[in-house]
Amino acid sequence: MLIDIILLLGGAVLVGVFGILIALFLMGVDRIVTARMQARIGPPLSQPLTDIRKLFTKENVVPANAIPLLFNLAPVIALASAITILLYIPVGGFPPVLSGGGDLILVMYLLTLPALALVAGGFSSGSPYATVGAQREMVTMIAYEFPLAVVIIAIAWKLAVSGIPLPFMLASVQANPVWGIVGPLGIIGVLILFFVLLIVTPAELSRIPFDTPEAETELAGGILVEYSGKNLALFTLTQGVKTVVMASLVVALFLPYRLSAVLPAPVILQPVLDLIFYLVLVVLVSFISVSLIRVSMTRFRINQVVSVYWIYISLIGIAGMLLIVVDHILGVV
Amino acid sequence: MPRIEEVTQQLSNKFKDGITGIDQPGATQFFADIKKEKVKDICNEIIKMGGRYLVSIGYDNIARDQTLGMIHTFAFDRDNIFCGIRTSVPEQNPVMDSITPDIPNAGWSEREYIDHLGMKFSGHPKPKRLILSDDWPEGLYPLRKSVPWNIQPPSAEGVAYQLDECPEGCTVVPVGPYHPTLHEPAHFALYVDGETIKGCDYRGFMVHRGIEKLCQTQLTYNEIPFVAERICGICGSVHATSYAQSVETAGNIKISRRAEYIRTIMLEIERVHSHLLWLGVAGHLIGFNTVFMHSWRVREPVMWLGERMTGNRKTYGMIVVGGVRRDITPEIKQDILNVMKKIEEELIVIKNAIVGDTSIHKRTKNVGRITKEDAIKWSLVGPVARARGVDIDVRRDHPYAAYDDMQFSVPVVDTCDVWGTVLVRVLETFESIHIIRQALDKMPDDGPILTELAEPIAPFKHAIAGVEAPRGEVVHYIITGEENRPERWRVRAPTYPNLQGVPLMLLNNELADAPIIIGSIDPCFSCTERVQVVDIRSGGVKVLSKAELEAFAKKK
Repeated sequence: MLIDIILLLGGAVLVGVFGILIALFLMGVDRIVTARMQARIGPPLSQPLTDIRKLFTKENVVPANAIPLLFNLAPVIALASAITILLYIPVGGFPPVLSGGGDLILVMYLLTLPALALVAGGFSSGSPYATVGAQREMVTMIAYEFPLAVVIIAIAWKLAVSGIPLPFMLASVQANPVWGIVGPLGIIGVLILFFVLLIVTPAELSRIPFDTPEAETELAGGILVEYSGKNLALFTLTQGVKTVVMASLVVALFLPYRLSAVLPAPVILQPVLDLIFYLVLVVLVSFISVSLIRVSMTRFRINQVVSVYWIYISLIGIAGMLLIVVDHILGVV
Repeated sequence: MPRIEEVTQQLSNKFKDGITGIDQPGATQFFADIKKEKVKDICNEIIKMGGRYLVSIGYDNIARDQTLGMIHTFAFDRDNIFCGIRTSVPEQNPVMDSITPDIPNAGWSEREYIDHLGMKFSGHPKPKRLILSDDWPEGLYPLRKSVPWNIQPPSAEGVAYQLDECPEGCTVVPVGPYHPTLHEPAHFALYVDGETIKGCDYRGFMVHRGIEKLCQTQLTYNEIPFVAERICGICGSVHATSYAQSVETAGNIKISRRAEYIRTIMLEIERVHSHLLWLGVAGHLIGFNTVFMHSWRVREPVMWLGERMTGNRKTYGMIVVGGVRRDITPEIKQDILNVMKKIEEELIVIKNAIVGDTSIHKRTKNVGRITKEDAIKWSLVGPVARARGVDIDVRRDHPYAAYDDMQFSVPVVDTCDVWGTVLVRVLETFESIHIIRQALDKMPDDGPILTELAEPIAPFKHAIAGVEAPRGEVVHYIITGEENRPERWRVRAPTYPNLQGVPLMLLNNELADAPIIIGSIDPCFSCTERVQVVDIRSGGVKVLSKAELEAFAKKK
């Protein structure tokens, strides 16, 4: 019993540290890749680490008319909840640390936590920019939740009707790649859902074109405008860890493959192979849904964000889901 | 009969005694001296006859006849005419009718002389302080000759600009004095209902450097072009050229054709760099940093070219009264052609990328929409007006330098929104490249580049000079003086009229669109705010802004 708890705690710490390291790595890769696409050289890979270290040495300013408790607590909650999600998602080719305790529905709920903490922090900082930013963040959340739910439910439904027990468990999703259990029509449906999740990711991460809550040129950093020093460092890390979470979620749902399954390798080397393969996939996902979209689009207005998600992306998602349903019915008949 | 005589005839027939004299120094400008009671009627009549309001010039004439002078200037764009309507009010009772109710763009000019000369305008809809800092003492009118140029009144605490009444149910979102959107200090108070802008008050003029007063009291004709060039960091040659042209017109100086060609080339090179710069900034404002990076990369060879030609990447120091300072050698000519070829190729790629990009359309189409009628009513200029279907361009309508020899088209679109300004500027850049090639081709091979002045410039001559800057039309008005320097020199940058139209463009748009709408006029606050002697270090402005910002935050 005690050993279990210690193992669990150890695993949690390990995942936390590992998650932050991957987060810094992904942020560095994003900055370099973006710079190259914009005809710049860009910073070294270690720049995010340097930035975070610098922020930790800076003064932590709390505005006079902020609510200090909420203002200081928000970044801690945000980072803690972002790392908690990592405990439920397969990271680095390993099964989730808390594999028995939660499923996709829980992950969906947990995903809102860092955003809610950010909103609370924004409202409590007492600046009109942050207030407008926080309002926008809430609207953005409401906008992308529905397509996200469509993706998760469609996949879980397919697993359920295919007779796989506990379809919402990530371990089940991981063990049964959805591509293998659908027919040709369903493959198109899954591809569409894959696309939808890739488009939801930048909104979840508040990146261009969905960085309306921060919108530097409109709101001077919006929701984060009053944050500095350690608090800002924590929020920046949250942002990075959320990138890892979203990329891992995409990998777990749509690319749950292991290199060790196809490549014969000594048992010792298998985790290393899996880890490298996982990193490649994560970088690929974040390249598409963070860097590539970011360099090729303008920032949307908040009303455009809502119409994009509620109308276009939702319809596309539902179409994907219907394709899977139709494919299943045809397959059964 | 030439059109200019028709206009003067028509005016004197209609107002007979109201007009006491008409002075017509050349074929393209005339100045009418009128009685102050008639100022409103005559100005309205000129607008009715097709005139476009430019700017007003107030000046101190107390030493000569105890009056303060006021000149309203207009342009007839189809007929290549500039005109000045001159009147004066006694120093003891400096009241005249405001023309702002009918010509809204005169609002700032009149407020300027309330601040500067202590004039009063009856019927002005918003006679608030415009230029002077809030702690500037009442009754001290810095543009009067009795006030020394370097006066530094003590700063005061606890004075603040009173913003306009906030409409019911709206929140104030301050944009500025320091804000990532604004590259210079200025303060827009946006009255926002949810995310919709319902109103706006502007308090700017935080970077006055008192250039006009300085030049009227301390510098000489030949020194001023270099100060004029520093009015703007982006379009300096424009101001130097416009100043030089106003002196040349007033002093009847004819410069060589080659110098005029070199001026044309400098002005167009400046336009290429300025439009590319704006395109980048506009991209950044709507969150499209890739456009920003690439258009500035494309712009870089122009900066290099500037250095090759003049020794400076910007602020070329090329233009002086009587001509230019450096010649264009055959080697430099080749360099210009090479750079233009490269830029044209890359610009085509950028143009195609932008014109087809739906996400840019989403952020710029139907944003900042105002009708052509409003654009004319508010006397907007430059790409901002041309995007609203107003077909004006000083280069074509009032040719100067060598533009009368150039073949070029003036892009005009009628989308009436921010997208139109993007399109106009991109198309204009191609025209500029086209003009540069023509100018290099047609330029006379030899000839002096600088004309020596034979005799001193006669005092008290008036002249108006217009130059098409990348942002729109620059107007310089000069009254020559006795001490080898202007008696009065008035600069009107294009942002001055365009900024007055911004509240109208912002109305009923989303808060998210405010940056690109403000950005779409390519604002240049420092150029607009050239007038007053304000010691920035006195801190008056700073205290105000901080207190105001805090007040806003608390209100929320």
